Amino acid sequence: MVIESFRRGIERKKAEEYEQKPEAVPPSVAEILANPTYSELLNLALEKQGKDDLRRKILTRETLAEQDFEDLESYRQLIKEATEYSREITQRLTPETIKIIAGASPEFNNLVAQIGINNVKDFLEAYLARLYVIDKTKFDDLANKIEAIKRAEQELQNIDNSLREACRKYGINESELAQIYERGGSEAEIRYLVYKRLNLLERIWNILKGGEYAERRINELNKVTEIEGKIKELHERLAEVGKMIADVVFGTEEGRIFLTKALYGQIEKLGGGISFKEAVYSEEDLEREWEEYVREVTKEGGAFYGKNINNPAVKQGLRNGFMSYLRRKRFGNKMGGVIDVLIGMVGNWVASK
Amino acid sequence: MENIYENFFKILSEGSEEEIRNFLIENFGKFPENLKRDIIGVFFEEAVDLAYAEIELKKRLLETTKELERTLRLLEDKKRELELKRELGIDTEE
Repeated sequence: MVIESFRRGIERKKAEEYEQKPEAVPPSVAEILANPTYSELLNLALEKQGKDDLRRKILTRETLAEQDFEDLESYRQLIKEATEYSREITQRLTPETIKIIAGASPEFNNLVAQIGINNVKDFLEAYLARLYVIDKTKFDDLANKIEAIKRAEQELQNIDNSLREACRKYGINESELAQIYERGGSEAEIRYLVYKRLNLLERIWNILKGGEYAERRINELNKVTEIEGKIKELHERLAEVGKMIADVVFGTEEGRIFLTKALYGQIEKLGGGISFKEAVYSEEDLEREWEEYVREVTKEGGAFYGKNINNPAVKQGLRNGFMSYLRRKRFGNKMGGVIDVLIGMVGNWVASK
Repeated sequence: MENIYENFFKILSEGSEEEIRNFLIENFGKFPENLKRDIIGVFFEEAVDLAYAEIELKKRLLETTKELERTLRLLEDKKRELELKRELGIDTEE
């Protein structure tokens, strides 16, 4: 309580300070340019909005125009928000929450095991700040989902226990589930099976919510045989739901992932972006692009590059320029996720040459 | 000496999605910090999506089960009511 009111007091003071003199709240533009983490965010924001001229001016330390200062002030605000909000999210990621998230993906779980659960936040803070800069909608969606996972953290054990109970009650056991997946064989068959089940769940759900079994309608039933028919139908539906629960709760690792992915696929396309395979690029393609890029750049600023080619900042500039060039040529205005990994690989590939 | 980036682009152009993903995970320790951050980020985003979808699905399943059980109880009560009426001779069924 004391800590909370202290925190609020600090925030209020910061807000008042900001109202009076926004530029007094750190980081300042000078701090952003001097700090590699901040300047990376600035570079990203400028690239995202196609502010190549300002990027070039900053890189070559050219005199800035009045409009440039105004633009830099809005980017400063963006970077400030990005760092604050990403820190806020990572503070919510306790080891328990990370365990729940890692439990849903064996691949992420493997990475967590490699870096150690306590170091995950350090990696994520910088990543989330970048996400805020390049795609705020995605950042907000991720933040909302993490919040929902946090809220479910407490009740998850109860949900799991209730589902296990429902599973036992409707006679579904683990071996039966194993059979479902063993029988399926190919990924396509399993996927089809899962989709069929999920569609059925939606149908059952809609029937329930649509009032087909509403109390009023049940009261209107006046034949025992009619009611018996409905009871039989409900038992069949419960058995179906029981099977779905078995998939989720007692599921094999593979089955559970398929099920969740399939469900997610119904709500929104998995990943929302592109897969690694869609980002395909061979080394030969890269060599060709690099040569083309160097040819273009040195044609434009031949004298400058001839004189400064051994300057590390110029080399770094060329490398960053190539990354932006390739990103724009290949992915247009798209950023983040798989594309960033690929572009990062390109940058390191150039440096390794 | 092994060039990890050359290997990556080789797998990217020749391997399957799964092979690419496995390559990133198996060689994770060999990448510089900025790439590690992006790799962690990509897999983290996916894991959050999956964890969220899984929780939502579990909730929906549980809610559906409870709703079905409630409806079942209502139907069984109604059935008992009709059977009792029949026994008492006030049967409305034809």
